[in-house]
Amino acid sequence: MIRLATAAVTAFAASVILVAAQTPGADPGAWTNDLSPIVASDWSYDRAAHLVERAGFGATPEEVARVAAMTPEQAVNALVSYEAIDDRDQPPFDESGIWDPGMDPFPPSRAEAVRIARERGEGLGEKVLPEGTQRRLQPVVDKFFYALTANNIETQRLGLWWANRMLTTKRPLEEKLTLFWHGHFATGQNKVRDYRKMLRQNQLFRRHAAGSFRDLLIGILKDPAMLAYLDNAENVKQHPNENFARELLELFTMGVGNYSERDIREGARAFTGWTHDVLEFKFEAGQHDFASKTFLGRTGNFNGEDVIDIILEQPVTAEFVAAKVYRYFVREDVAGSVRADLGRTFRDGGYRMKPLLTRIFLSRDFYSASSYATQIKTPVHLVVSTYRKLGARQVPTIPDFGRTTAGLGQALLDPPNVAGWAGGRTWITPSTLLQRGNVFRDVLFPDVGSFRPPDRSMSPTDERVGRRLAQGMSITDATREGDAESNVMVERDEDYNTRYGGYAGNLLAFKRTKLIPRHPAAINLTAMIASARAGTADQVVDHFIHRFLRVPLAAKDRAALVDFLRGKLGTSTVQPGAALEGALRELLYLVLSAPEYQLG
Amino acid sequence: MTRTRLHHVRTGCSCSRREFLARGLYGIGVGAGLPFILQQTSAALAAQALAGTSVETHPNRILVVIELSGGNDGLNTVVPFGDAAYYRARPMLAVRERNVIQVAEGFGFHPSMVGFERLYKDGLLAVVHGCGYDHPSLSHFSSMSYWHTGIPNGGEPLGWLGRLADEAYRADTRNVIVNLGPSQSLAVRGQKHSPLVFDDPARFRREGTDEQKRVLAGMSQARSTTNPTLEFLASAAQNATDSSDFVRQTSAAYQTPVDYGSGGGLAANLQRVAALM
Repeated sequence: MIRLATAAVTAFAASVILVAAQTPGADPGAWTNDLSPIVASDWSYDRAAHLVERAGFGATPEEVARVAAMTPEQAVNALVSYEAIDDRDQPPFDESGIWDPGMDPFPPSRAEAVRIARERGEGLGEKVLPEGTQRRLQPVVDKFFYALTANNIETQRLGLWWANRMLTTKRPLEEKLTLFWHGHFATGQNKVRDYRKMLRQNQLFRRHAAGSFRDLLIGILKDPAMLAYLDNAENVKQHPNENFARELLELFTMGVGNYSERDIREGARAFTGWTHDVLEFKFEAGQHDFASKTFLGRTGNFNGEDVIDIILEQPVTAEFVAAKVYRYFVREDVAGSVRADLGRTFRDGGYRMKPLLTRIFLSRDFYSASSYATQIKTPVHLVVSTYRKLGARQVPTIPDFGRTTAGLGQALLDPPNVAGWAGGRTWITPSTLLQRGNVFRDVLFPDVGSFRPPDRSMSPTDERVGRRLAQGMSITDATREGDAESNVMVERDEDYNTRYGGYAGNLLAFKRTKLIPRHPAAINLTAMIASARAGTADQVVDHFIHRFLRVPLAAKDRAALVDFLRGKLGTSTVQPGAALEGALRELLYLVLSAPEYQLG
Repeated sequence: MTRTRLHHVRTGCSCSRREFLARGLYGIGVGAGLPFILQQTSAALAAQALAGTSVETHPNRILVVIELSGGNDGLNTVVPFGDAAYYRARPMLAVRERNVIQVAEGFGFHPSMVGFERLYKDGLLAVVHGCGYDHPSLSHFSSMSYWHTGIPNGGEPLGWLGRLADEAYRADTRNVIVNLGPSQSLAVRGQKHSPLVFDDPARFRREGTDEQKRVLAGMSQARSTTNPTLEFLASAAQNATDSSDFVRQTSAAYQTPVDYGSGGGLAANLQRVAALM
């Protein structure tokens, strides 16, 4: 029921005036690079909205109003000291149980799986068929592809579970930081191929999200997903592998230019023997180099932890990490003075995250014109925050969440490389900018009929194999293709058929992974504007701007939206009826496609 | 895994592709020791252009740059079989001299590269071998930015193709650089020219009704504001409005007798390039 008319107009206008009255006289432009704290009289609805956007995933106007009613210290403290908030309503990840004991340790390639199986008569928990049987190794090859596909699906489910945490958590900063650490200590399922390791790493990030950086650093350097991702099993005394030490210094702690190639080589020696046994860290003393090392100007029989502590003694380390935190939460350009100052805060605080975060979130710089609404939302933030602002209680699965963000350049649990997502303006090309609007058309007008669930879809090649088999073709015929790869396969067809393995692996994975429930967004814009008491086209447009945009639209663009809605409604006033919801959705699609909506 | 990126630089009306390269490279300061990657090539091309021995006869040609990003063993691709150091350094991995497809003194292709040999002998392929610079950075990320800017240890913010375009074309020339890829390469970042970047032409479109597209086109105009991020977004939005229909329709309408296969990847991207050309 739409309540309306002059009373509603007045109510809405009054709240606008209230907000304006709270906006302080201080010039936020002069606040740039000023790390001194804002005071209670600086606090406003817009600044509260800015805080919840950056330190979390945005919020509905009602939630922002609650934060705006606090003092800035209370608001920041509530976000940062989140352990006080009960999170037992968050369900643990519901594992399908795709893994059986014979699959560990998982071989790095199909060729290796086959080699092991030939040698031992079984592999991946599957027995090789008796001598003289056609395709004796097929069960092992099927199982290999099963594991890849099942892991892939399980990782999709894991990403969706995480997205639901981002949406529904009462500790938004915890999830925002977990995502930060995922980008900082970037590790990808593509290479790790084991969702269990990815889940444990995700839990590690969350456990230490706002804790001690030292604890997190040691944790991640002993984390099986990271050790696998950076090949540290190959880092042994006789042949040190520098990958791990290089990324530790360049990407995780100090930044390029602050150490020498020799430091990398010596540092790598300290981490020899750091490996993992499936899901546990393992130190192999026999592979560790116990001899003396010279690292960052110091000499001793350093082990991995010693090297970490030497790194943490460097002022540049605190500055590098603090600057990265700043770039994530505030803006791309970090002034030299800000970098040094925040570095001191971080180091003096014993690398604890909370003093650093509190300082940033209370600083005038954080609310200055240089910072306010000048970030480009990450794809994950763009999608999750939209659902939050719509008041959704679970992440819609039509369209598919993972496919949607991946299409915009960010797949959770699969960053592009160890440097993580470059972020900022690199998210935007003319093409991705259009797609960042298009995804909301898929949300607001979901195509339920022709939706294909990615967790139950095969590649075109696998599908073709399935079709041909269903037509009664033999495995050899069903998998034949006119290219070089298949000729190689035909030669091996006696022992196994790779293409059939891919198909069979899919089938088994579909059977043994839990299905992602599919539902479009539960959105009721009619109710939303009713409770906002927006009764005219102007008020509806203003409400959408207020709810979704951090900066005002140009007057001509706002007018175009009002005209658009008037045209859809055939009148200037909002009348309840079957056509209203559709008209509101068409309007909202425009608001969410505005260049201004990319700003967070 | 190899990722493919393609960049075109449109050479305009007044100079040949080779002159363009030569002029552009000199324009961005070979005199100052830049850019290292193409110094030799650039000098050779410039000499050819000046001597009138360039084979270029079509001044409106388009330069297509293909970047294969990922791991490749360069020394086993173009094998320096004449260099004893190669065999000393690679007692196991080296391609034996008798297996090399020999094409130049001391150099040859890996035995699998028969097609390359043909192109080379027809004068359609040149190789710039053993590129590098003193005291190379072993950082993957620094190395990539040096590669894309053409300036090692420089911190140069603009890419070599972007600077080339800036040097050779007025700011109001449209679509001087087209970058096919999921994100914009540093190589095409310029001061004056905003590259047109897209991946799949079929997805380079605004969804919605004609009316919605019209309203959004109005909201997507480039503008000057006090918010530089918004300016950047509005400029990209206008670029998208101006180009997406053209690119998509051109690509969809393109017909070719060439079979690019169905595997996607480089072949699919080359078909897109051909369509745009």
